[in-house]
Order: sequence, then structure tokens, then C-alpha cells
Amino acid sequence: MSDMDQYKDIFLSESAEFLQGITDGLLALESNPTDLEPVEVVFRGAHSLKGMSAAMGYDLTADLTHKMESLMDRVRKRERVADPPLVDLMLDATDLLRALIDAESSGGSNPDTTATISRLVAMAEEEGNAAISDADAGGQADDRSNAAVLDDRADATVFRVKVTLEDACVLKSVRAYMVIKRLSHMGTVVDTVPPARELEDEQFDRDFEIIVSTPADATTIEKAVMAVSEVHAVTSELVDETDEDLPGEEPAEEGAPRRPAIPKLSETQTVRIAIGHLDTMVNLVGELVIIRSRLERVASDLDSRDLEDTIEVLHRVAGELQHEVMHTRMVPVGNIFNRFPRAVRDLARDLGRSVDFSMSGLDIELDRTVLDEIGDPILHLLRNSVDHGIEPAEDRMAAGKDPKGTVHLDASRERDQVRISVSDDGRGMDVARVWGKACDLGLAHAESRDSYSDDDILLFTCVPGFSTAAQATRVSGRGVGMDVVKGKIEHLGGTLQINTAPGQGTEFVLTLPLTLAIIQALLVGARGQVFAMPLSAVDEVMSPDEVQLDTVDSAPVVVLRDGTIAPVYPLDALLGVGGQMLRDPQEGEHIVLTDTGGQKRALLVEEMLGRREIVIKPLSRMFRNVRGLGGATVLGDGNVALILDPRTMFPSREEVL
Amino acid sequence: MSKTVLVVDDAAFMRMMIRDILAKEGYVIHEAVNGRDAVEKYDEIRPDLVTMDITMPEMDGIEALRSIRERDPNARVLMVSAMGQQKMIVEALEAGALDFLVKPFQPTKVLETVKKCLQLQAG
Repeated sequence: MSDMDQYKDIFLSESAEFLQGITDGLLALESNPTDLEPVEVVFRGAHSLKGMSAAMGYDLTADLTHKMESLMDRVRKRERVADPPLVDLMLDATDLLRALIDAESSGGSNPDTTATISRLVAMAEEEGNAAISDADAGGQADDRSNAAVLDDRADATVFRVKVTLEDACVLKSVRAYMVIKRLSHMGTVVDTVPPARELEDEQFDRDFEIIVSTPADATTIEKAVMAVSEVHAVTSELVDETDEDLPGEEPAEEGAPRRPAIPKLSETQTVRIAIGHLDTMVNLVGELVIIRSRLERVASDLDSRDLEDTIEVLHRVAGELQHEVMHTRMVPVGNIFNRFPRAVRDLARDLGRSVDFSMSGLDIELDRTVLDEIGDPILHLLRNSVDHGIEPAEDRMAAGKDPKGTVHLDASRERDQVRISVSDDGRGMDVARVWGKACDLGLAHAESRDSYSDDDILLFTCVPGFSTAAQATRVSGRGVGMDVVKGKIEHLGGTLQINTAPGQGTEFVLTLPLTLAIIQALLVGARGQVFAMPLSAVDEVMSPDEVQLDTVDSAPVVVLRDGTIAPVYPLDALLGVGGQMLRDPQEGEHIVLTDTGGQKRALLVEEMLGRREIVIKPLSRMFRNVRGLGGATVLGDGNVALILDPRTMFPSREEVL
Repeated sequence: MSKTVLVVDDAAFMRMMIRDILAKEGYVIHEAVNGRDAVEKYDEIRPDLVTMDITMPEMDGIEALRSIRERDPNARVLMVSAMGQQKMIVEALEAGALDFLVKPFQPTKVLETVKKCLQLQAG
């Protein structure tokens, strides 16, 4: 079935949606086993996947989904309740299904389905027998077809109609039914060979006979039977002698067929695009934006009014194009959030916690690249909430709280940023304890407590090696922790904030940029080279004569208006292109005050070249892990500027001193 | 004039397959994603033929078939089903569907059946 390869992409993307639908439905069933809507969703999901995978020739997948469908069918018919064993088995089967689709579509080795399939079959066969209702329905249908018989006419003759179905005919009983139905429109079906019951049960090979009493002639009968699909051959012979003068009349047409009106195109049509194409488009639009700025430069040099006007239009069109292209990359956060309910459920179960998990803002959109990266950090925060935030039920009751804890995941849009929060109503974080530990670990001096806000102190939990959990658990402790989460978020140009109220709960807030590909940047110069500093990390730009300078531990610092201090870092020294690290700002230099996750630093630069929208190009593999650099961009004049990474470019104070 | 076919299936995969098979032969294809959508699109487009999946959200194929046949007694509807849906196919045929296809299907079978349905008078 190699000609099916063209459908593989859509098969995979759509089967992922159905798998998700099934999972969501099962989880909904778990919390409300009598709700029939999710039953339908799960049933339909399995059913659709069955058809799709059969079409692709994925026989194992088709078989597994068939068994899942059969089990859910019993629930639909209210022959079985969706009790926890059923939901568990179906969730297991869904996991297996996901693996199986992966394997069959990639040609990998297939997981063993026999155990799960026999469990599904066994459960579907428990209590009562579903087959009975099908047989009943067949009989009923047959009765109805006989009832539809036209009035018997005196001039009718009786024919024995022999029908042979095609070799490849599926659902032979239904084909036989169609033949009978067609003939019953022309007269009375007197008998069939084999009997109706056997026809229904498909207890025949390819041939069957129908005895029909009709005023129609043999040709009309044969034509009518041949019109049924998958009929291979038909013959009819007269059984008794009656006059055949009256030609049979076809059933009257019910009014002339209406001509279809000229079809309107439907308003919204969607197309699925491989993400690679979008990436290419983003790159090309990036090039266009760069060429635009080069043209602007040329135009201002030439001082041509016409050219400037034209570029003005180009500016607008390129801007809109860029906006549209960026928009196509936006994906609702629901696409990754939807795997969390299952994860939280499993986790709560493992930990013996009772947790009510809810989500909101699922339609908020984020750039695909950002979205792909934040799944794991959010999952970690959710784990944290369930594991460390929510107390065991008995502790909660002792504290006068609902024994069932709540965890909520929310997404919302704030200008050009997306805010994602994970909140719980658990025990909250103990600021004093975090502070104590931070001091013990030498991250802060006990006497400087006043210079830290509670929020600042909570962020110490994100320092590598810091963990307030009494002991690492299977869930939360895996060597990775909050430091990894914070690192990831900051790598994406976002920030992490922690809010907590003792005894009432904790909220982790991620603020993320909408997109990664194009950013606003401040162009700065050092030793004749141009660098781009992401504007999101810049608080303000100051000149050395308008700030107050001081020295802490013999290192220069800028004293900010609110009394806090920011250590001074000369850009040239940071990049190793010359200059002293520990020096005061000099005449003519500029101070760029940067803020990364609440940490303020004063960056000394020689030149200020203004603010620009830049397209981020990744660095080649060789430079990818160079500290302090986040990429490169092409400037309007065609020169390349390195993009600074404010999160990694500053060495710690200890390294400098 | 080329015939218009409304392909109704909740799975985009299935719609795409049927569309590809039919479009190659010159049919003009429209799509609907569930029964309700099918009824609305039917009114709008008045296609020569509808291929109707049975199991769908919102409104299933049989309900949609009934609703379409109520609006247009001459509507030609071809049911698309999976194995194990005999009962529902019979129900659909009772309600006026012309024929049925069983997934998975061969392109030739689809074309043959569609052609047959377009030749049949609506029953």
C-alpha cells in the first residue's frame, strides 16, 4: 500500500487528535461515569481510528481499535458501566494504541497487543451478550421490508430470481437485503432461499434466490437487481404461468429532480501545512525585513522622495506579511495542555493525593517553537504542585480545608506576552525556611534579609542544587528541578515568578514571549563591533553622569533610584575583546540596565545604535554553546551582528572577583 | 457538467481520501465535518450526491440522512460505514440511502458505487 504514503502525515496528525479525544473522554468518564457524552466521544474516536488505520493497512491498529470500540459500544448501549477497571483498561489500551500507531507507521517493531486485546475482549464479553441485540435488529429490518410491499396485483407473475454476489463483497447480508428491498418495491417477495434468517446471518456463500410475485417483466427485474452494488450476476425465471401483457411500471418518481443551485464556496477552508514550510516562510520573511531596512538605508543616502515613498509601502506590506506568517505559526496552548489531565491524574494516583485539576485559557495562542519547549517545564510545575503543594487529605482536613486539593493551569494574553500560571491550594511555601536554607548554602548573607523581597527569596529555590523537599521523591526528584524549569523559561526569553501564601497555596507564573523568531533589540557597539541586546531584558539606558556610583567588595556598582544596586559589567571585557572587567563607567560610555528574572545589572557599552526589529538566526553548531550569545542577525547594511544572551552573558560576582 | 459530491466525514483523513479518488475523475467535491454541517451544506450546495459517514459527532450520518431526505426527497446519499455496522446500514437504506461503501475501500469500488448511485433514481 505504498500509494497510501501520501496520506500518512494527515493520518498521523489526525490520529493524534483522536487519541487525545479518547484520553480526554476517558478522564471525563472517570470523574463522571454516568455521563454519556464522553462515552460517545471515546466510541467515535476508536471507530474513526479503526477506519483510518484499516485504510492505511495498519492491521494491528485496526484490530485494537475495533476491540476498544466494541467495549465502548457496550457502554453506549448501557449494557456496561464505565467503572474504574474499564477506564483503566481503556487508558492502557490507548497508551498501547499510541505506541502501535508509531510502530506501524514508522515500520518499527510492533508492541505486543495480545494481552490487552484479550483483556478488552474478555471485558466486552462479561455479563450478557451484545450479539443478541444485533440479531434482533436484523429480524426487525426484514419485517419492515416485507411490510413495504406494494399491493399485490392480479396480473402479477411469480419469478425465481437467482442472484450471485461479487467475490469481494463485504456485508453480504446487507446486499441481500438491498436486493430484497428493491424487488419488494416491484411486487411481493414470497420466499427466499436460504430463508431470511440465514440471509441475515450471512449463512450463504455468494448465491441466493428470491421468489417474487410482480407485474414486472424479467428484464426489468434483472436491471433492478444489477443496479445494486456488488451484484455479480442475476437470472430470473418464470415460476407459474399468468398473462404477461402488462409491462411493469417503475415506481413513480417523486417530482422532477431539482437542479442544484450554483454552489457557493464555503467561507473558511483550512489547509494543513508541514511545520518545515512555515519555518522556511518565517526565514524568507526575515530576509525580506532585512532587505527592507537595507533599502531604507539606501533611500536615505540617495535622498530620493519617490524611493522613500515606495519603501514606505514596502514597509507596510512586509510588516503585514510578517504578521500573517507569524500568525500561522501560532498554536493554541490547548494542544500541549491537553496531555496534562492524564499526567496529573496518574501522578495524584501514584502519590495517593486527591486532586481536582482544571485548566482555562486553552485557546490562547503561542508560537509553535515556544509551545514545544514549555510542555516539560509546565509538567514539572504541575508535579511540584501535586507532590509538594497539595497536602495529604488528612493534613488538609486537620487544617480545615477540603480534603480534595485543587490545581489549576491557566493561560492568558498580556500584550505581546503570554502568561501561564500553575496554582494550587496546598500548603504554600515557607519563605523563612527558604531564606534559612539560602543562607546555609551561602547564596545570601543572613544580615541582608531586608534587601530581598519575598518573591526574590522564593526564586532561590530555582538555584541548582536547592531543594526544600525533605527527601527527593520518585516524582519530583530526578536531579532536575526548578533550576531546569527556570533555565528553560529564561532560555525562551520568559520569566518565572513565584507567589505563595502559607497554608493557602502557591502560584508559579511563567511569562513568555509570543514568538521567538523576531524580536525587538537594542543595537550597541563595543570596539567597533555591533551587538544586539534583546529589548525584553533591557530596563533603561542611562548615561554615567546621571547615575550614582558606588563600590561593593571593591567592585563598581550603580545605585538605582530605589536604592538597590546593580553590578557594573563592561561589554568589551565580558566578550573578551579588551578592557578591564572591574572599572568605573567612563565619559561617553552608556549604561544599559538589564533585568533578567529580577536580577539587575549595568552593562557598559561604547556606542548606542538604536532600537531595531531583528530576525534571529541560530548560530552554527560550533558556536551554539558559546556563553553569552543567543544567535545572530543580519543588519540593514548587510553586516552581521551577534545577539547577546542576557541570561548567560554575565559571569557571577564570584567569578569576576 | 461535472457532478457535485458532498463528502461527509468527521475524519479529515477519510474526506481527503474520498476527495482525491473522486476529484481525479472530475467530480466537484465539497466537504462537511459532521451531520449538522452536512445538512447545512446540503441546503447550500444541493450536490448531486452525498457520501455520508455513519459515526460522527454533533449529528450522526443516519440522522443527517433523514434530515436531508426530508428537505429533498430526491437527495442521493451513499453511506460510508465500517465493518460491524450492518444494523445501521440497513437503517440508512430504510431511510432512503441508495447504497453503501465499507471502509477500507478500493478507489475503483468507490468510483463504481458513486457512478451507480448517480445513475439510480433516488428511491
